[in-house]
Amino acid sequence: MDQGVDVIAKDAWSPQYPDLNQMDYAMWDSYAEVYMGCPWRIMEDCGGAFSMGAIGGSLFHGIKGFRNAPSGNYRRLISSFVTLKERAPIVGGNFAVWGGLFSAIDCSMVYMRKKEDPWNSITSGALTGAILSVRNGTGAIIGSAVIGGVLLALIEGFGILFTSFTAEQFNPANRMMEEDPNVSGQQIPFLFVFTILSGVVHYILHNL
Amino acid sequence: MPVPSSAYGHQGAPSCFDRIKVGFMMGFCVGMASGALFGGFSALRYGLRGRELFSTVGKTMIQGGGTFGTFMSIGTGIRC
Repeated sequence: MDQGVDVIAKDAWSPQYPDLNQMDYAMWDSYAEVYMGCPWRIMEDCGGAFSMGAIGGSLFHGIKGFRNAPSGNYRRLISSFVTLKERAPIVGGNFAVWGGLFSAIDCSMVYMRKKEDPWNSITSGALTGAILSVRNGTGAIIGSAVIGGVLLALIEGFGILFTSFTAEQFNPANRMMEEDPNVSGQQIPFLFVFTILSGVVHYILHNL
Repeated sequence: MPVPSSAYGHQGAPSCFDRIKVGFMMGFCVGMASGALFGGFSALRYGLRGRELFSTVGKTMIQGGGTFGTFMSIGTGIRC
């Protein structure tokens, strides 16, 4: 567990962050609020996921409608627009449900476990998948949970890989040429990206 | 002094396009990996073997990588 914290904490969570291993319960609550933005992050992720799904959905469904149309450029455009109009909000909604639930579970895990590591997101992904397919029976629940967990584990793993890859420039040998580590150290808010990407599962499950 | 290479290719704050590029790259990696896993299992369960199996899994990997990469780049794009 501590290992995960260390890997993430190395570069992006630079000196302004508190020492995660030395914090008491009250500090964890404020940590979750201040650094993860916790109760409000759920709304934020929900909205972000919706926009992302809507934009991506318009792209994909626009192309799909264009290809699935009677001949004639005008009719192709009309079909593209109609498909986009019908389907893109659905994709956005799916993403929003996934992102919001994921974020909510993730925040709850930070509060409950008093820890911040990749297992949080992996468990949240599995739980989200399980909860969303709870009406489809035990088999579906287990299947979605496995898919969610594996996918989030992949995302976490690649995130750590990418973070350590982009953090090469911050090792002590190169430290002196760095003017402002806060600006260039934190490239992508990876937690947000994990959250958002988890919505893709839903899309993949329904469309491929 | 040699400039250390990073995924962003230069020092200083990365531009929006750089972020989107890294987002796409990461999404593509995740999509390829998940496509290999899930596509491989479903193709095996479907009963494909040999050359058919590889072509199907390859297609699924590229497809998943493209989908994930696109969504990931949009996700980073609306954030910067």
